[in-house]
Formats: sequence, structure tokens, C-alpha cells
Amino acid sequence: MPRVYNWQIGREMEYPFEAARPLRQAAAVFDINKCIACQTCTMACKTTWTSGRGQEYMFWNNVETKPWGSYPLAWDVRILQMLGPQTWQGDRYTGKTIFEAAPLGEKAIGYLPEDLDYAYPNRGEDEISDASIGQRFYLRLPHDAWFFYLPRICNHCTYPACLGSCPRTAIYKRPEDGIVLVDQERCRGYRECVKNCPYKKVFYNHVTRVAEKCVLCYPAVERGIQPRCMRNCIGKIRTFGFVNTPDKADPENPVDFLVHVRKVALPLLPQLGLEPNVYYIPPVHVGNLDFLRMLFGPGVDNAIAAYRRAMAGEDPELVGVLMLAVSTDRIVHRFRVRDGYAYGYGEDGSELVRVPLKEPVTVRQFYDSLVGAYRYNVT
Amino acid sequence: MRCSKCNKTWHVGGANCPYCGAPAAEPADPHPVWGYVIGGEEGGGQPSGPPVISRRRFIGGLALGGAAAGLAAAGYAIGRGLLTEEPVAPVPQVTARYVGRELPVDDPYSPVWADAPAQRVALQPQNVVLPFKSTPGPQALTVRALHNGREIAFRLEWDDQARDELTIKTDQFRDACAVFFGSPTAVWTMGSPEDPVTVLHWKADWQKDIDHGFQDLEAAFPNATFDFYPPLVGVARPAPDDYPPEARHRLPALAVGNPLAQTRRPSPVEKLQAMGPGTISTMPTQDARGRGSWRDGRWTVVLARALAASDQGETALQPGQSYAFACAVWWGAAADRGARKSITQLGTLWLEVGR
Ligand code: SF4
Ligand code: SF4
Repeated sequence: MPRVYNWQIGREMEYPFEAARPLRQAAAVFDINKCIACQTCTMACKTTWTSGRGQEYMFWNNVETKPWGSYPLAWDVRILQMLGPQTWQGDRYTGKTIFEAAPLGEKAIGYLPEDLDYAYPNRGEDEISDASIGQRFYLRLPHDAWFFYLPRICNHCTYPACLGSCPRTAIYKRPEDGIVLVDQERCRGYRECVKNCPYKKVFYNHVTRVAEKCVLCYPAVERGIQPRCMRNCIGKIRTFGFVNTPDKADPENPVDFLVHVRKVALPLLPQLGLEPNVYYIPPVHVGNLDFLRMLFGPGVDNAIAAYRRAMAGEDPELVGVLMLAVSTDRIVHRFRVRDGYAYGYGEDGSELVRVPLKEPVTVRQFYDSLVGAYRYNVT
Repeated sequence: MRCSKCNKTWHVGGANCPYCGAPAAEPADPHPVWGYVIGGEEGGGQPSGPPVISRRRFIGGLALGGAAAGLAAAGYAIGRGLLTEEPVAPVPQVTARYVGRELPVDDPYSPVWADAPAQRVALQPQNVVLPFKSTPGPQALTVRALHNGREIAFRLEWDDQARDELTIKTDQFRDACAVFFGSPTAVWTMGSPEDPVTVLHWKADWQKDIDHGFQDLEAAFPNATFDFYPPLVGVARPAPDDYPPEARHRLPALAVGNPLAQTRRPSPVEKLQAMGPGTISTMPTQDARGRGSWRDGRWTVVLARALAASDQGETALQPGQSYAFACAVWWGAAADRGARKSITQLGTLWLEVGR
């Protein structure tokens, strides 16, 4: 297999094709600390793309509760179990990726889910990490008993396993934005992609009998508009844009700032070797750091520290970028924080949005003398 | 496993070669695979009556059932005709017998097939092009061919205890078979750009769609329930064909004309062209015919086509000529699809001259 460079694991690795990075790579940052599992993203996607016959079970966007939730069932546990214990040395991954661990005759390790694996999309919802906490239990941070929500879409990986394992090259990565698509004319329903995408984000259509996956709302992205799941996010956890490689990081690009400058946003299961392009700000309240390190790699401790600094008011720039999330339907290419405001700019440099770092607060008088009535808060 | 003496491979049964009895050259494959346990209960003794095959997960092909399963496998192989029928040829050398009548294209069991010389040909798991077939598969298939100067028909027979005719669930794969033919110089690995090959591919799910109507969602999920599929408000159990043209994009592959996604199929046999691994493409003119039938653990399938080619790059056949020829079989229960198949070696097809 050719060798390619994966910056997320700090080394070269094997991949079925030569490296071919797109001109720019669509990417997103999800701030897990703010997700409320309202599933608005899930439904925004579902009603847009997967309400047809044969797509009933498909959630291109799903939100699962960690540590117990997963869709399809145990997707993460199973691939990690297949991979076995692996090691990092600092920021360099010294274990095997799913491509390097492939047995003879396969391009990667992977498994094909059964239909029952998809039957419980919100299994484990709101279940805490440890229900066996004793009597003397005091609430403290980070929590001894914890859970958090993990919203997931296709990661539009730089080295997609779906693409790498399609024997027909029916899956392609668009050079203009790095979006990974299944060619609906070319796919013959072999499901090698369903088997080998470790994130299980390719699905088999029961009626058309071919594979389908998240299209990152490319018709919107082509017009400078964010994907549906991003712009409908109630918790405003999602920052959508384009990510560069670390050597070309642009500190004014919101995604680059979060991923490369503050290093507060981390890839999901980077050790699998796909260089996924959805990044997560890890939850700061979780008492088991090892669990987070397993999911997001060795950058977890630094990310949590950086996020805490922002929460303590020591990093207005970071606060500003996060305030810009879901503040406009348009894609923010650059940002600036100045005089208590965060500004988001479009590709042409025009101002798209401006948000205050601190929302202005107005307290209304209990008695409204104009109409001679008391104001009651009835909610 | 591979035999230390005759070099044949097998996946089911004991440590001794089911063909010649010599011991295996290599240990069992250490990777867990989907396999078949042949015989009675797990770990049980000698099965009574005809061997049954049940699907079950096991490690390495040897783990369950122990010696009993091994013995049963050998007995099964013999019983299914490896030693009692014609000898198994390592390479297909098929003669298409001339008959001055209509070919039994729609009847795999027609007595006319008795006119065609049968050849039993060895199958082996495809392990040249990634991904390999690493699950059990049939050891051999029987090939016959007839032509009448206008049309040629092949009949393929192989054992398959599990009958896989649905491709609806994520882990459901079809049984299928194919023949390929090309110029005498065509290469085994699905031809090449300079020397493309023509493939006739029969699919069990297409056959079922034709015989019993399009196998929709409920064929695999009988209790499926839903509110409505936009924009089909109030339509109970809509079939894909109920979608109005402006809503067809909700069945994307069907809407863009993917031949695999169509609901109305004129034939269970697809005519394809290949120019190397991963290149098969449906030909513009779909005029191949055929019919497959499963009886008592055995598929019997007819694949037919006019001798003349109707598409550019398609291999035309002429009496008195020889062609490169190979066959392939897919066991759906073993998750066969695409390159995960059992194949014959590259052999020849010769068309008898009409009398
Ligand atoms: S819409 Fe936003 S807050 Fe709601 S579940 Fe999705 S990611 Fe979380
Ligand atoms: S997440 Fe899966 S489906 Fe998406 S690009 Fe990566 S490998 Fe492909």
C-alpha cells in the first residue's frame, strides 16, 4: 500500500491510494460541552435526506450518549476491540491503524453490522457512567458519575476507509471541498464501505440496494451556506468551515484556530488512521480522562485546560469563536474578536455576523406604570 | 487449508484433504470467519440422515464439532458428487453443442440439456485481487453449453444449502453466478482495456423479483411500520413505483438509473463488460436471458445470449471458434459479493459447427 502522511497521528501510514488532499477540506468543530441531545440536527438531516423508502433506519446524523450509547450498536467498542490495545508516544501514534491491521486479503479491518445493530438508535440515552456510586456521593467537578452527548456525522475523512475499500471506486472525494460521496450510478451494493468505515457512516438502502452516506449538504456548501445539521443546532455547538493542515494553519480561520492554534478541538478516534475532519471539544466535566483519551487521543488534557481558561474569562478570542457558532447560516471563513464583539466574515471578506461576547442583560421593572400592570413570569 | 499433496484448498472439515486424503500443508486460518458447521448439534456425534448445513460463527473452520464435523464434511463432499460424478477438471474446457432447435433458455431442467456434454470444473476462492474471499465456498460447478447458430446458452449447477435470494438487509447477500468470455488472448483478471471481456451475470434476487414481483422492504421486514413517506401522504405500503416523478429523488439510485436499483427487470441476467478488476459496467443493450432455480440444495441456472454482439466492445461468438472462458459462483450466505467469489481457472469455450 502507498504511504501517506496523517498529521493527527504524527506519522506516515499505509493507505490503499496515494495521498490526494483536496484544494480545501470542509470541516466542523462540535463543542460537546454545549450539546443537549435535542436531536434537532438528527431531524434536520432526516427530513432533508433520508425520509425515502429504504432509508427508515438511517441516521446520517445521530447523537449518542457516551459512555453507553452507540449507533449502530457498539460501533466504537467493536472496532476498538478488533484493533486491540495500541499505544501512543506523545503525539505520535505507535500502534496500528485499521489499514495497517488489515489481515491478508483485506484493505482494512472492519465488520458489517446486522439490521438489529441499527434497531436502537438512542440506546443508553442519559445513562451515567457508573450507577454503583456509594452512599456518600458529593457533586464535584469533574464528576465521578458522568455522561455526555456525542453528535456524529460522516467525518469526510482525509483518508476515508469507505473510499479506500470500494472495489469499484464508486466513492470519491471532491477535490474542491473534500466532501466524500457515493456515486449513486456506480455503486453495486457490495457494502465494502459499510464494512470498513469504522464510524459506520455509510448505510445500505433497503430498497435501492446500494450504499448511501452523508453528503454534507453539498448543494448548500457550494453556495456558501452551512449544512442543515449545523445551522439548525439548538445548542449552537457547531462551527462549520474549512480546515488546513497544521503547517498551513490560519489563525483567523475559526476551524484552524480551534484545531491548530488553541488545540481545543480534537478528532474522534484518530488512532484508526482516517484523519477525520469533524473535531470535538472534549467535555470538561468527565471524571475519566482515560476514556476521553481513548476517544480523542493524547490532546485531551491540553484541550480541557484551554477550554477552562476560556470559561474563566482568560481567553476572549476563544470565547469569541465559540460565540460565532450557529450565529449565521452562511459559512464563516474568517473571524476577529474586538471590543467585546466577535465578527464573522465570508469568503469575500464581507462581514456576515457580529455577536457580543456577553449578551446584554435588561431587567424589566416588576410594575409597568405605562399600562398599570404587574409583570408576571409565567413560564 | 491447502493440501500438501494435490495443492487443492478447502475451508470446511478436518485436517485431511477431502480430495485425496493427504494432510494439510498449512494450519487453519487464524481469522474468525463466517462458516458452516456440517452435521448434527454443536459438538455432537455422527449425524444421522443426510447432512444438514447450518450457519454459525466459528473460529478457523475447525473449532466446532471436532472430528465429527470433519468426517461429515468429507462425507458430504463425496456424497455431493465430488467422487461419484464426473472427475473435477482443473480448467474449464467447454464445448457448446450445436442443436438445431430453440434453446431451453427458460427451463434449467429441460431434457434438452442432456444433449450438452457436462464438465465438472474446480472452483477456488478468489485471492488475487483485494478483497479476497476468505469464507467457505463451493468446491466445483458443472457447466454445459448449447447453441443453435443464433443463440448460446450456458447451464451452471452448483451446491448451495442456503438459498439467498434477498438483498434487503445490510447483511444479506445474493447467490449468483457468472460466465465470462472474450478473445483467446483475454486475461483471467476480468480482461483488460485492450482486450475487454463480456460477462453474463445471473442474480438470485433479480430472479426472485421477476418470479414473485419486486421484493420490497416488507419481504425482509414484515412488521415494518411507518407514518408516511413524503410526499406520499396516506399511501399504505407504497412501492417504489408509486413515487411520482418529482419525488423519485428520494430513491436516489433508482432515480439516476442505476441498473442495480431498478424495480422492473426484464431478465435475471445482466450483460456486462469488464476491462480489468473493478471495471465491470452494465452494457447499454440488456438482451441476455436466462433463468435460475434452486432445488434440494443445488442451484441450476441458465444464462443465454445471441451469438452476435449488440453493443460496442461486446464479444461476438462464432461456431468453430474458441474463446477465453471462465465461471464464477457467489454464495450469499458466506457474504460473497464482487471479488469475494469462487472462480474457475481461465479455460476455453469452443462452439461446435452446426451439422
Ligand atoms: S442540534 Fe446541536 S445541541 Fe441539539 S443534539 Fe444536535 S448537536 Fe446537540
Ligand atoms: S466517516 Fe466513514 S463514511 Fe465518512 S468519509 Fe470517513 S470512512 Fe467514509
